[in-house]
Amino acid sequence: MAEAVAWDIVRLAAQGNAAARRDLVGATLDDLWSLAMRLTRRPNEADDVVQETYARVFATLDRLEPTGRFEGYLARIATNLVLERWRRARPTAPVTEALSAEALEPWQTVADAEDDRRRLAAIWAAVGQLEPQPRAAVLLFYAQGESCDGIGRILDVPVGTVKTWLHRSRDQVRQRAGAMLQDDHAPSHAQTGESP
Amino acid sequence: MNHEPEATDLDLGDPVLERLGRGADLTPARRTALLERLAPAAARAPRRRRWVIPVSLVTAAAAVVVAALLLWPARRYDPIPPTAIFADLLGPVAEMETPSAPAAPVQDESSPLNDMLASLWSDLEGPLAIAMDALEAPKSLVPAKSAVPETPAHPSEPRKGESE
Repeated sequence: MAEAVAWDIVRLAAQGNAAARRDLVGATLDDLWSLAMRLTRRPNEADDVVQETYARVFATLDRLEPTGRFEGYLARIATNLVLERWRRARPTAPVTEALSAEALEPWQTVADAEDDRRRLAAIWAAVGQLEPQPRAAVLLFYAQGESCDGIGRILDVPVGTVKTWLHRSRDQVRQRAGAMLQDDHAPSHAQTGESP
Repeated sequence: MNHEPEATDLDLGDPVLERLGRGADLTPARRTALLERLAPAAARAPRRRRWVIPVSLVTAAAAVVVAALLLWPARRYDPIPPTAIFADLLGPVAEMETPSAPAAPVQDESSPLNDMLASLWSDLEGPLAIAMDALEAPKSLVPAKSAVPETPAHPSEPRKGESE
């Protein structure tokens, strides 16, 4: 996690100081991109989210209240942008697409074993079937390592709601991911059993 | 196959789900490309909200104000007197009369005395009529005595069912 951005830089950036703006981007880009990547799991989509987030932030810098951490403000905007994208997109992906080669591709860098990639892709597909806000809570908590309080601030909901979402969503993800992996393995086992 | 540890309901930790966070680091090459992409937005000066009024709108508004100021006095002091309007309306009637024979003076019937008498009469007219009716009423209510006594139409014929 990068060092917290000082509000002095934010104030200078709000006044139109180009150097302060560059510093602001340089100090926050890595964490912001990681957050966008963890929420979208698509590098190109993460790029778009990051660009749109900075555009919105720069447009509202002069109206920004210097309370809390600036990174929290960025995370809030980025998460809301991703939520908008999820709401616009189709709600669930078919199971047949969940473990396709394209779905496995984002996990290429994190796990070499085929089984691991399949497992992660199944979990990701199951997470993708959650409602937008619980989905964001799950990814912010497990993938981003955000606290329940932080998630509550980002999503503008009480902490109790976040915990409820996490408990419920974790069970759903386990069940759905397990079912996907079972369905995926079943035909191959059947084929091997039939062959002499 | 990885072993999936059992998590209690009170424990939100889940190593399998936490693996979703891996592989989300920004590579140097992508970082450089992204910085180039973000450079225009970062270099752009912030836009202050301003009220921009089109020049044509301002010109039109000014023209309306000037025209109103110029035309307002002319409308306010109308050169056409009211007598001219009545002259236009009553013109044909005036032309029928000869200028040598002036119209006879019309007697003015309204005077304070006439008005007072008319008012008094209108107040007394109703009660007076009622009083006159009351004086004549006893005469009209007393029936005149008839010379012929009232007799039944057929006194000799007995009614049906009556005993004789």
